[in-house]
Amino acid sequence: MNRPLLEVRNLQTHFLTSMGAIRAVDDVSFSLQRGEVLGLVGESGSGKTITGYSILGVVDEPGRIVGGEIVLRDTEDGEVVLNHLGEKQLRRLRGNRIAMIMQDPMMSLNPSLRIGTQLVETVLAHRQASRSEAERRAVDVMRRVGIPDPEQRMQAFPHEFSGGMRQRVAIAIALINEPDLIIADEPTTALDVTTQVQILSEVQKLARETGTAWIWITHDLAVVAGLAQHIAVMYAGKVVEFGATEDLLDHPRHPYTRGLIASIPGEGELAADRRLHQIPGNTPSLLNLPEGCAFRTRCDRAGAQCDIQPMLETSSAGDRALRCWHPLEGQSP
Amino acid sequence: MTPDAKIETLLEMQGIEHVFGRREDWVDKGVRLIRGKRTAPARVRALNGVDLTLGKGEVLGIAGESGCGKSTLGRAMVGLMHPTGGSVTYRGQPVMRGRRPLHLKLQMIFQDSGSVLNPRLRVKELIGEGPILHGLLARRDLEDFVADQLETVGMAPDVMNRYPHQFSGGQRQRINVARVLALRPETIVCDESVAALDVSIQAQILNLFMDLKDRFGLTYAFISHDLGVLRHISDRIMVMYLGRVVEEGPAAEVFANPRHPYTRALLENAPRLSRRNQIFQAVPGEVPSPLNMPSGCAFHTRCALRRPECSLSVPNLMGTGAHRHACPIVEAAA
Repeated sequence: MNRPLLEVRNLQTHFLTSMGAIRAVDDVSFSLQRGEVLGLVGESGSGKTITGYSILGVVDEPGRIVGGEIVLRDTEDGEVVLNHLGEKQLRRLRGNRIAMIMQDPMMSLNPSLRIGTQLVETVLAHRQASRSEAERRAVDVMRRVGIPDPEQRMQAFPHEFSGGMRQRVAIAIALINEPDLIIADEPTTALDVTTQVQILSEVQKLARETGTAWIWITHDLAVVAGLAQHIAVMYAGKVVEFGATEDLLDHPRHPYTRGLIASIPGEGELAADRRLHQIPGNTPSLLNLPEGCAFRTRCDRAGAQCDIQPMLETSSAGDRALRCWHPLEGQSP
Repeated sequence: MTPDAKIETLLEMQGIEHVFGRREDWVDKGVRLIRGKRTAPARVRALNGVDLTLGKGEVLGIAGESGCGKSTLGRAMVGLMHPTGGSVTYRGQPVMRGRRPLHLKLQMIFQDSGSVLNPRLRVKELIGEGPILHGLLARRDLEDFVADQLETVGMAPDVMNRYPHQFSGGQRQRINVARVLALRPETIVCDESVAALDVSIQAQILNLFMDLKDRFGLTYAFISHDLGVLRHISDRIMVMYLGRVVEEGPAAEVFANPRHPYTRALLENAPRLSRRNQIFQAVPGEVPSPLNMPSGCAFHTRCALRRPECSLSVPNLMGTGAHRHACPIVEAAA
């Protein structure tokens, strides 16, 4: 097995506020191979987006990476620890070896510049290339993400595009320098079903063709079920379960993962009484997490041991990890 | 179509049309004739001949993507908006302005739980003001009443002195439900009421809707873009595309055996938990702008079964029994 492209080890990103430290990301570990799609799944406030921001080094004050390592390797097995790099070195990597796609494409597009200008700029910031070369590249990448008439559309402004087309432009900008890793933060959540499927289909093709690895951040397990090879489930700043997509979805072992799967409506056989499995209670505030396992107050398997924080135990084969004292025996949800 | 002859029909809509924007008046017309410029704003036909019945105790799911007219239809149901054509009746009486007793029976719950609640009012005022205003409640009974309502939606009575910002999205949606129930409605129109919630909270609210339906014999029209939610909750389903109904029928049947090419595209390609390592197959193109509606069947620009005649005339709903669709090509092949 090749050494992974990205390894996140015990990452801790805390926000130091006057009300106390908010441990938005607390001891998160996972790794990612070249060309692989990893689904990073969790509900709001679980820390999935901050994990993405931490990898790119764009966490805003008062947030800081206070512990752990984010290791990025290149093909010659040279490696850099991203969170030890300075801003100047990080800028050389962002948009070049690592790119990010946001939920709202207007966050990454400048409304007053033509699409072509924004694409060309991304190339010229990182490569010794002539303007015409960069433009050729831009047209090519726009065609690859499924934008019709790319030569003409280069002249258009972001507001002239529909939501789905804007998201394609954001993906094109992410792809244009052929990065090793793209972090996609809920890129299809705001789109209509048919547009969402179009984007997913393009991404799937690109992932297969280019060897770029993706971290797909989402709250929607159904999307990553079709897209990702591995899934990491986050809860209250921690990865609670990690595994291969099929295995994790068919045999969830953490009670939270099982609860999450069972609360998705319209899957499988409909219950005669039209009731969904529900996880009781609300997601706890990060300022006021329960001692020990953060899920224990909502968990039907919690015991006295759960007052102590369980560690993320990785299976001997390394393809499954779990943070629970009382795991399920891997039965179907 | 009638869901079942034995079930009492509550809401009936016939030939609903709604056009946003005004007609050209004599000033516009003059300018156009003299200057050759159009001054009347473009008109958008949001609804185009929609028929609908809602039987007592049923859950009708209304599916469709943005711009298909589903929210406009929902607003027309409760009389928040008056369609430019067609009739809306509730228990045989027209739904129109100034019919308060009727409007009390018809309530609506929206997607954004926060914007509905006045941030300066406490929970007890938010829940109690409606019933007091309509003379259903005496002010001295307010606290007992609100405590009851909160308990009904699974909240502790002691939150009644708090303000909306002190709650999470899921709790605020519970307060909205309590507020609506306080008026003792028969029918509730839910417009994307669970779309903004996290999965685990969404499941809680969907269960709450079903509990309340059993307890109070409620009828729901449930508007959503989320097919999973609709599959779970609906007895009957209507699929809309650009202001028209393209398919309708018993939910189980439509989901098991979709007929219209648009419904099929939606159901067969949408991400599902059970579809692992799915090869995503996309419907080409985008929903056309309602400003510039395609002629004939509005879906023909994206349809794989397209024939030349599809752009000529608008197909009506066809098919046998309760399951009907608007595609003559599919019907001819069956």
